[in-house]
Amino acid sequence: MITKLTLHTLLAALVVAGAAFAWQARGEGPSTTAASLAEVLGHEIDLDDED
Amino acid sequence: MTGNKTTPGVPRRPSRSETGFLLLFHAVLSGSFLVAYLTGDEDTYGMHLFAGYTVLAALGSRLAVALLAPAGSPLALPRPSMSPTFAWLRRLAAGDGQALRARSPLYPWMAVVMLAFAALVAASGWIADRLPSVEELHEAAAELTPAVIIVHISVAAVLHWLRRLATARAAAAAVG
Repeated sequence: MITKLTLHTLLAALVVAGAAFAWQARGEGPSTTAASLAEVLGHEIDLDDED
Repeated sequence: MTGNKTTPGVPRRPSRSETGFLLLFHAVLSGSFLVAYLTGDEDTYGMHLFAGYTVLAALGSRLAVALLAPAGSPLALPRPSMSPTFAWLRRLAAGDGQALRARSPLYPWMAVVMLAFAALVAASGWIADRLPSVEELHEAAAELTPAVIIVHISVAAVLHWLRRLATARAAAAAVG
């Protein structure tokens, strides 16, 4: 039962995280969404860098 | 007259759909709480808000269902009681194996503590968004999250394993 509850929690966390990420990135362009994802993953992308 | 005989104060066993609802509630609450905890930084503030609102929605739905549930339903809010808890602890101290095989009166206490804690963290976050002076309370409560969750999981695991052990011993004794 504890394993089942833990798996349910992790699955729900994935779904909520995906929905939350989509919500945060809503209305923003694909490049900004990619930058947001990179930030969440601990990287930085400078969108103003044209070089 | 119904077929469901219940002991006063003890909810009957949940039906399949009630179990499904409770499992879904537990998954959504714990999953969104986890996401909210992990996204507290400025970079992920939008995700933090979304997950926090999901926690509030889950708690609101649970409360609404509990208010509509009839007395004795497993969907009613958990109502911990001191005297059955002390009686159960005395039976454990006396080495009564049947006390371990029965449903522990510690579960309603755990449920109430977790619901109250989740409500405090989520509601203080919601209020702090409008009233910055509440932010310290929200952050202090959020910092307690890992400890509260570790205690919750540990108590649930210990009760679960003790119950399995007692049941296995009783089965072995019946065979032997």
